[in-house]
Amino acid sequence: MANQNDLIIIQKVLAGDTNAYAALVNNYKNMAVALAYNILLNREDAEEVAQDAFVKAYSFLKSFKENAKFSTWLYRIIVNTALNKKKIKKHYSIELTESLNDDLSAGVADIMAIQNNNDHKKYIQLAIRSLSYNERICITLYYLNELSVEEINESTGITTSNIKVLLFRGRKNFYRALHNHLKDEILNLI
Amino acid sequence: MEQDNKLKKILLKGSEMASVNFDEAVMEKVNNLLTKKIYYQPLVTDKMKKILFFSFFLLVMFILLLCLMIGSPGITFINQVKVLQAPEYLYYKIFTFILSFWIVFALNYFIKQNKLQLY
Repeated sequence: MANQNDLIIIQKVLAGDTNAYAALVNNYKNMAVALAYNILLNREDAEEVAQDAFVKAYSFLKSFKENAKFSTWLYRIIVNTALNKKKIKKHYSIELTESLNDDLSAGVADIMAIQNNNDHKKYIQLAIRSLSYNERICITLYYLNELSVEEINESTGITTSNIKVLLFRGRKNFYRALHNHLKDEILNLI
Repeated sequence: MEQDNKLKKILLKGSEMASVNFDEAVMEKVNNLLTKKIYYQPLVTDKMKKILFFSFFLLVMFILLLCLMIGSPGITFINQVKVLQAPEYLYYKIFTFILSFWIVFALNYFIKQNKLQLY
């Protein structure tokens, strides 16, 4: 079921009020960047992908079905745009972030040297990095973007049974990685 | 459910937020999209289009001629072709198909030309 506020804004935009679109951008920009980041694991790329996804969504707003949720539709565009970006990048460069455990320990050591112990953000991001690509997408869409399993299936094409497995496994791996980095400090996070 | 909320909180703490000028950047791109003239890269070059057009015209003329000649019994070659006993409605169907294809093609071409000028 579509969000009524989103629908009103969409109708305004379709009626020719382009500036109304800024409200939609403002509502979803953080979730869009967060999702793109968790797929690409790069700040600049995530920002670029999120912006492009908003522009794409604007271009194809006429094809948006009113009984659908704008967020689900937007997240699907983000996942596809990020996937394309990832493919292009993979084609031209060696991805350093995917070799998980070795990089994790090195990354933690570096971060510990630079940042103080209160900065948990990097540790959480490192724990996210320890997840597989599909686990990352499912965990982000389910917990951060608050999509249901069916909506994740709609957005990514991963089967519902597989999503449930990925969520279970992802959750376990995420907590384990977080615990490895933060030990008892994990309790402060919750 | 409580566990879900806890995990959401953790993920929120670790998530990247949009930059300060994110909105402006998107709106600028959107406005550029509106003001930018859209040019379509043609699938075939002008020269190729002319060649295709001419060959298609020749083909149509040839079939037309063939249709007309089939009616005249004086030509021996045509009499030989007639041995094949292709039903007359087949020729009629081919002819109508080509004619309708041309009409739709021409209409589509002119409509698209007018639409492009709108951008």
